[in-house]
Amino acid sequence: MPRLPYGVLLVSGSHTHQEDYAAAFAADPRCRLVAVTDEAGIDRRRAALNRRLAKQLGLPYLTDFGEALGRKDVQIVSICAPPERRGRIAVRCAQAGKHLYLDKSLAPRLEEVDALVAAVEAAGVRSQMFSFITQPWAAHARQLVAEGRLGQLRAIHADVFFAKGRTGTADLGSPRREAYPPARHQLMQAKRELDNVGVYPITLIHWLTGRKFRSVHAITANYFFREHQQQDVEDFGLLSGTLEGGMVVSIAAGRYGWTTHPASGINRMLLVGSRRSVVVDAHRPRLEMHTDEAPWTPPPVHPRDPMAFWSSTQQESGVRRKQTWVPLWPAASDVSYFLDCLGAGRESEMSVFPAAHAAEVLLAAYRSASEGRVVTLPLAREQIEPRRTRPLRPS
Amino acid sequence: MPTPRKSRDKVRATGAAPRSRPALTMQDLYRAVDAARPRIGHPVFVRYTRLGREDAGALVALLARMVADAQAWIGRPPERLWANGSARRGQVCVTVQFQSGATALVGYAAPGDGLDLLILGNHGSMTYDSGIGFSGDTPLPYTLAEPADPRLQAAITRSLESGEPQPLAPS
Repeated sequence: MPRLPYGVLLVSGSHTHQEDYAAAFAADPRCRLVAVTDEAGIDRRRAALNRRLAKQLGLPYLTDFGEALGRKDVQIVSICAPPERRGRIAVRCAQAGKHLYLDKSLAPRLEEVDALVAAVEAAGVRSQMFSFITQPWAAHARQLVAEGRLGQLRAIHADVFFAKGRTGTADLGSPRREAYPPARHQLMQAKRELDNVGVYPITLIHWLTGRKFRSVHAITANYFFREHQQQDVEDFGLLSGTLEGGMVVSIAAGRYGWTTHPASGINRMLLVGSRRSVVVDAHRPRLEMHTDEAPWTPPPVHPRDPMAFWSSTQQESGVRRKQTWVPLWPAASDVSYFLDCLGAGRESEMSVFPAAHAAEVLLAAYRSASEGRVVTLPLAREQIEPRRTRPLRPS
Repeated sequence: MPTPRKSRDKVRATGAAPRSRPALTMQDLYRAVDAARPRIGHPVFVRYTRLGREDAGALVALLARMVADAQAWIGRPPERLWANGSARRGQVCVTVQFQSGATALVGYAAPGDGLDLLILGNHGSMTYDSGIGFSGDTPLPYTLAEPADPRLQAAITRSLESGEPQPLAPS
């Protein structure tokens, strides 16, 4: 067990969720930020954004990734590299004996997911993927289930949408054709929203029930944003399926625009029990405010982040907080929970193991959306040749 | 003692029984949704869930009527559906794909009382909370004059039996 504070190495910088994760680590007295780093061979834009966050945080930017991983004063690596690079980076960090704090979703390819799980197991390090399970309303849902107040849980129907971006620009006359395996997950203009948002209800359902998904039928679509359509990534996804034991679940997820919701977006689950059913809503209970303050209006479109993915670009655009609904549930820190787990020497409930299942469900969903059929899980593992990692430039 | 309101006195004067709460029906919801629908742009997704205590034998017909409701809100015919779950266990979720590319998740869950509706358009959304698990809102009685479409019923039944999506021929 390392002596406190934990040293935290940040992989990737500005214009990723590292902006938020680094702030959360920095705010916790159990941590000390050490440096920002990234793989060799990244493009100039990414390198500049990495340097930018390092400068903002007063940290060195280490261009030698291997050397950064070898530092003795690093115990945790917070990984926000784009999905296509995330898996292999996380494997190297685990192999270096570092605990992993990971952006979601885990990785877009099954072999990368399996390799990461194997690496974490072999190294005996702790891991956590960002999720909603640490939020108080999620804990409330779990308590309802655990205490048997709903009777036996029979079905879950969940909807999660992010209310950001300027909606109404997609061409509805061009229905989406999904491709499998999915490529291009995270671009400057758009992300795959079934993956980006759908990972939350998938992980919540698995965590609440303790059951894995066994079948999935999914559809992806472009309903709201020209940006997503132009980049050939979906802004909407739905998924219906069954868990172990036959429990019926359904999910609708995506991004639907600033003005489509009075707060950050719908985020709710209908839990159907044998005795009673309840809706658990992240926005309930709440205060509702109506005043003579200037009404909320959407911010101007940021040219380098039209969907307002990142905290820094939201600040630059002058995004105002919506204040009609005042939440009563206090926001919880996902990072704090991870540090609690490390301190107690226990596994996070959103370690790479459940996170890997979520990644597999997402892959099954994309396959279903592409082929128009029901896909059963676990997915077949193809004969995997000895792993070929992309050669890195000598550092 | 509270002072009686004028309107209440007037009702008494006519001999009509005062009602503390008017009864709402599905027709009221349809009317409200139809009036509000243009404000959300083109409807692209419907999440429509009913909690009830129906006999398993009545579920397929009920779901077919709900799919027909979703069709009316989307404004285009359904092209394909997949029914997931078990009518016997009272848990069914029907995924519907419409000719326009719009989609719906139409579900029935038991036991319970209530109706949950979310309609997403490309310019906005509308939600109807029946009060499932929230407050004491009275669930709307599901009364429809129109019989269930036998074509939709047959497709839902085939999908439940086969576990596979079913195409829907144009009506």
